[in-house]
Amino acid sequence: MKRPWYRFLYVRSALAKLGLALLAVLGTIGILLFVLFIETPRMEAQTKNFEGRSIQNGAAVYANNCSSCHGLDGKGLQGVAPALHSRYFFEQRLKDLEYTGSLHDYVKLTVAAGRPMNKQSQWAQMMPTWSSRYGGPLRDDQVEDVTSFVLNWREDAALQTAETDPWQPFQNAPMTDIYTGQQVETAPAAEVSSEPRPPQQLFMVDMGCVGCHNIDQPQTETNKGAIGPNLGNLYETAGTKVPGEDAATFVHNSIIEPNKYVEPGYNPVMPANFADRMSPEEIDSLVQWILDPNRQK
Amino acid sequence: MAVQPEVKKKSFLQTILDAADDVFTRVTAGISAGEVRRMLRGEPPGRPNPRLKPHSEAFLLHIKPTYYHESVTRFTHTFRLGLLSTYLFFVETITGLILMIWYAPTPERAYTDMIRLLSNVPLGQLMRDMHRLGAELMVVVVTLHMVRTYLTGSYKAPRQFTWFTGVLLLVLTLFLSFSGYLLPWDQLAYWAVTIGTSMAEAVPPPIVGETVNLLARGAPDIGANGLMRFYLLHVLFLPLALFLFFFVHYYKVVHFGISLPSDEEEVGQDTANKVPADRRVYFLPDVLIDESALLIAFTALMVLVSTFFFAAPLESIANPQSTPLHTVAPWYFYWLQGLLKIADKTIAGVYVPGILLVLLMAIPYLDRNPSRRGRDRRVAIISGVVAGIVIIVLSWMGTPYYAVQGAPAVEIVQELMPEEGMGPLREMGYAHLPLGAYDSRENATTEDEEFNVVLHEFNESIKAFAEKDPSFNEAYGVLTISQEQPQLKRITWDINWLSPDGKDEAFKRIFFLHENALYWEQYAVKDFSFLRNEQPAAGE
Amino acid sequence: MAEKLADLSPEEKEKRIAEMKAKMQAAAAKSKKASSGEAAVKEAAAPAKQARAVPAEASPAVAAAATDKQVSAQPAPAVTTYGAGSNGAAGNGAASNGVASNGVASNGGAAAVSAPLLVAPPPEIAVETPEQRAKKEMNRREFLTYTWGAALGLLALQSGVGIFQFMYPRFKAGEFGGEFLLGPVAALPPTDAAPAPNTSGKFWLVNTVDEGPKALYMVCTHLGCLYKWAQSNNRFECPCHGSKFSREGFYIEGPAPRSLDTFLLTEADGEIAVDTGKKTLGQPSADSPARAVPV
Repeated sequence: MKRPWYRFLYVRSALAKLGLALLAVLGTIGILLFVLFIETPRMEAQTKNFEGRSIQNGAAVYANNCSSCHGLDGKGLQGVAPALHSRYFFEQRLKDLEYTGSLHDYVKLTVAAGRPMNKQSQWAQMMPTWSSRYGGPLRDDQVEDVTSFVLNWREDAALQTAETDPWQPFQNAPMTDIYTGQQVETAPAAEVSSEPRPPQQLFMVDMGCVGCHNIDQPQTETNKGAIGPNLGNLYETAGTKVPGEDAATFVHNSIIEPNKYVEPGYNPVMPANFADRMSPEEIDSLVQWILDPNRQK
Repeated sequence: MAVQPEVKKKSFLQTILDAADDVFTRVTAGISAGEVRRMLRGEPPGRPNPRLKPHSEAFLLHIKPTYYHESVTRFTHTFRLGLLSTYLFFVETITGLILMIWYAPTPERAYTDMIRLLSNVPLGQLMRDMHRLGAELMVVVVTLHMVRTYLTGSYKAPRQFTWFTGVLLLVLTLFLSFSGYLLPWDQLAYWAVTIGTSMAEAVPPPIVGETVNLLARGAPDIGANGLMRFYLLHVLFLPLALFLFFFVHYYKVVHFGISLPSDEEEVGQDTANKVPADRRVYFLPDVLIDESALLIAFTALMVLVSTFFFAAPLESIANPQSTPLHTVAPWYFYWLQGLLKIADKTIAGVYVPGILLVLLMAIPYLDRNPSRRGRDRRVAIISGVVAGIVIIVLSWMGTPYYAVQGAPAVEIVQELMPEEGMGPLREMGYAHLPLGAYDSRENATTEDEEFNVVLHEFNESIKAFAEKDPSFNEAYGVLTISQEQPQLKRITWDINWLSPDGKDEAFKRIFFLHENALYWEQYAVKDFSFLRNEQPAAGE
Repeated sequence: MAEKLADLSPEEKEKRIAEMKAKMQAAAAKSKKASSGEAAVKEAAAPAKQARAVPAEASPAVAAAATDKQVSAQPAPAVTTYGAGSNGAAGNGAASNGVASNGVASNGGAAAVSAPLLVAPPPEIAVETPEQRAKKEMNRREFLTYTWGAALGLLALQSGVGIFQFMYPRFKAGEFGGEFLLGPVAALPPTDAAPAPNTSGKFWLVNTVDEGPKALYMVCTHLGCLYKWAQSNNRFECPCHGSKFSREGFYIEGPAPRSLDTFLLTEADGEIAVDTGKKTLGQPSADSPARAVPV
């Protein structure tokens, strides 16, 4: 019988087999020793890895769901939602609330279950419930991720000073100013007065329009507002947006029914409750003021 | 009385030694210590041969033949593939049992358990990698075992039923591997299994398909019920079935003997069980040493590979709301996926695999050629090779490279920074991402060489797509890296182009990358950079 | 003592192996005839297969019909089903009279009970091997075993059905995933009333002019938020990302990819039922009749 070329693969010598087996066992012992040796640093690296990935995922959740109210940089929007990227928030908020849990729990609970709110609050919208456990769209892990993302601002926020801290005091809630150590009595919630409020106050404070719309900058190809379009040149363009609507009608409709026309490239995130929060006269004066090129601040 | 003086002659030490040898002989079911030493020295057995006794008296050895034909013990005759398959099942059982300690099959816990396994269980990663590697190897080895049996014609009489159970074992192995796929509860698992079970939905008539799907998933979608069912299939039902058929298969193998090389016997004859005395290779000790040396070497190789070259993949947590781009089945089902691309779901997903399976099982009953010699069975071998090539081509068609190109902008980004997995940009890592906006029209370069390479690739792939795709004109892209938070960078991919009717189109995708995020490729040299980086990170 | 055993064992072993082999061969030979799929293949193809197909009840007829095929095949076509096939295989059948064989053959397949009664061993047979006898007659014991086997099969089938029932996911009525009974048709809200939420069933019930009552799945098709009914605008609005849907569940505007999903709503005997296990996906936003901005 002729010997095939691959016959060398058939090892007959018991010595060779035993040698191979011995080598294999020694090699395995060596590799396992190496693995055991690196286990501690490996587990540390993996722990950090998954913490980092959680923040990454949280950043995506935040950008998609939270940034339109709490701001891209987490510094809140005037009259829309409070700041999270704030030294006060990290250092004093819980103490002022006399909340005994951790900030992690506080953020996570608020994200998960939302916040109820009365209509006359300083904030334009209430915090919706986000966890799917309470009827929201986010899974538990996403709530956890967005919480780690928010808490990751701590380091940066610690560098803030009284001037740069974006915290907007809650109305009718006592707070401690961390920069002076003084107890600050904030103004009580504004009484609903029969007097019409001036458009400047509506735009800048009460309705918080300024949080998303820049009234001083024009909206151009190269200079677009991040969350809502700039309104600086709206008096020129408003009449051209929707056929059949002149500038005043367009702005009026955009305030009371903001989602009827959404500027291309923007998300329909503008609150739809302005009609309830302003009287018709106030809306009219606001429309006039926005469309006045020589408006007064 | 006459016995008494004899006993006294024995020294105390000798009594102890004899007693020890007696115990030893009982444990080995009939082989004394001296005989073991003779065996290890390679000396011939005493007469009568005491090495045969364990085969008739000991449970563990009674399932092994006393001796083999010299020709079938050649490595190149069987490549020991059956033994390796059995051994891999054993490895999977052991590693699987260990992994079960840290695993709970619920959607809330499964993925977190994976993270804990990787980040807070010593040897957790090795166990997971070994289990996954073993599972993939088992599919490979079982398939090769079948190919070998086919090529040597060993399925022919009287071994038809052995082949039949072998095909059952192959199917069980595939199902076992596939059912384990879902357990990590990540995107890869979730969508591969969703696709897999939705094939069951294609079983006609619709009511049957729906029912099968409902039974497998326990609900209309894969959720807590589906995970529990797949878990039970994976850890209990399928292993038990495999165990059962393994013994049927093995019994047949031992009963008929391993088929001799075809040239050593007449056509139509089967002399595997008539081994001439001069060609016997006894199990004790020759085959035992041979097999255990092979298995030990194989184990060492597995440990080596799973330590340095193989990482069980773990994508982000299963998200029923979003299907990742380029969802793929496990590689051993690529051929099926390829088939699904070119044919209807019912035909490709139900009829073709069903017919293939029946054909495979029926091969020994269809092939009436009594000869096992290669030159006598050209048709069988050529058709086998053709079937192999078809499977390989279909497998290639099952990969995302064939016929699932998305929009150019999506593909460009997917190539550099895929939704799941690593990609070149994540491979560079956080440190190599200089802040700024980089426009592909300006061919900007930075001081970071590694980043320049990716940037160049980005620009080139936009150009390449713009040239070959008529709906993708005057394209340019902007890659923006900005600091989102301490240790967190935002990576924005903007691609703008003109559609054929001259409209501006834009594509935007945002990713985030954390400084500590690590990514591993499944088949690649593992990254041990954390060993190096540990010191500076602590010092900073 | 041990040595003595060891001394004997190889021979003993070989003896035992030989014995076992003989047994196995006998068993294999038996099983071949008793239609074992594996062994039968080795035989020549056609007759073996047909022999296998012959049920045990028919075997008396087989043996009988085989001998007088020239005589009986023509007058009794009923035999052909079993008899013709077995002619080749059972060529060594015993002699018997044609009349008896015909009667048996036509009855053989029909009723297992009648078979043993009808078969009387033909007096002509002088020598009969046990195997031949086994082929012919079915005694009470054999019959009882078959009945028992059939009953076992039935039990196995029943268990299978039971396990199927056990595994099949079910949802109670009034539990999400199950059926919700909403009372008589007359109790439906008028077609201009505000939609009524059913929180445990996760649907809004609306009565529409065009399509009758509808059960809208309470979850937004965009990212799974729970949308709200905005009475002032007479439409559904999602608080998370601002998708809007008409009262009938059609997409109006916003980022949602499709109109609202609906559950199967049935009317039986004037009673309205909503099956929350059967969901129909809404049409893509682009096709929505209520779309605010035409595509």
